[in-house]
Amino acid sequence: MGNRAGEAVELRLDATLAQLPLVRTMAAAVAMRQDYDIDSIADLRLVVDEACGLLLARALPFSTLVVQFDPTPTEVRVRCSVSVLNETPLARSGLGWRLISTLVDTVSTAVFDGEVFAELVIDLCMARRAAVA
Amino acid sequence: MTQPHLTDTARRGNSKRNDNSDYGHLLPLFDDLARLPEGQARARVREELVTGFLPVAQHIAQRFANRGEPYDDLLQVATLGLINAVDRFDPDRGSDFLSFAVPTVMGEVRRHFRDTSWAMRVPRRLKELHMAVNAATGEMSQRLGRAPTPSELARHLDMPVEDVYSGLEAGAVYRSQSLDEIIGPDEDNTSVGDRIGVEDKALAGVEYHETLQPLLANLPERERRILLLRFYGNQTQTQIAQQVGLSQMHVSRLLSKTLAQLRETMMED
Repeated sequence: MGNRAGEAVELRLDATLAQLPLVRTMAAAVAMRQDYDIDSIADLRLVVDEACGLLLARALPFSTLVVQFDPTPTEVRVRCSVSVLNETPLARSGLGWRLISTLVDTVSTAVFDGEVFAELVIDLCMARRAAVA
Repeated sequence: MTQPHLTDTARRGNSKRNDNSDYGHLLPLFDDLARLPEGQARARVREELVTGFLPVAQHIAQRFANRGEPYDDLLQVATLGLINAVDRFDPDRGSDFLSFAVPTVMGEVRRHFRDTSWAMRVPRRLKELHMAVNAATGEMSQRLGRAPTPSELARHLDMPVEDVYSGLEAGAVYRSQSLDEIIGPDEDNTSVGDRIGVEDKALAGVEYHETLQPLLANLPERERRILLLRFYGNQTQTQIAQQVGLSQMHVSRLLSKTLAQLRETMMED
């Protein structure tokens, strides 16, 4: 992650739902430290939680959930990934995906070949909302 | 609920602070309460007083609503405060009941917010930070027309931005949700816990069933019959052998061959 500001954060957790509160807290803290407005902080928290929730539903048991936050002066990019058994891409229908795509500026999902298992990835990006007045 | 009547009462009460006209008929009861000995008659008077002044409690609870605590809880607390006020009021001291009761009930509600409304024990400093940040957020959202950022809050409150972070984070533990909490009044009273999904173990069974169906249909008539008699008819191999006119050995061999075949074709998919 090329980040001049040096504020990148990477979180590696056991891929279980019980770890989600930590991810949420980190997402909120990152947005807070980027001085996002209160609503955007809550949104990023929710979106990252939702994205990781979607991934965890597919994650291999005993694998690792990796969440990378890459804040820049204009936006926060987040990449969440888990190891999965089969290479089916993530369904983009469900409510979770709808929620994410409504709240962020860009979101995409992909499956990459890993060393042993395939990696299921969600990339999302939330721009700093223009301050009105 | 009696809300419209309530606000009405409240407004009138506010405009003329010492006018007890709405409750005037209740005031003589305080003399009775002081005079009567413990007993049924006294209990009845006390009850009448408490019920009569109930709008006061309702009005105060209403004033503290929308601050993150359920109205019903606030009403309970306010009502307790009112009962205390009725018990402690001494008509001989010459002050009127409302000017005694209102601060008592408000105090009770404030104490509730201070002591019991936090789901987790949070240091006092954090509670105060949280409240300051919360109040400032409302005020600034109003002025800016959007939610403020932490640095704006810090500037407004004249405190370090790290303190604003702490105040915001403290909000996360203000109220924790119970698994037994009932969601909504008209959702057939399901609780949060009831709605948490678990993996349906029977689902795998459905899948096997669906996969097996066509495979069974493809079996030769005799093999299918043996399989059915063994696993659905629950018959022994000897019984089956008699029915289909084969030796028990033969039935046994056919059975294991068919099962192996089924297992193999199922795994292929």
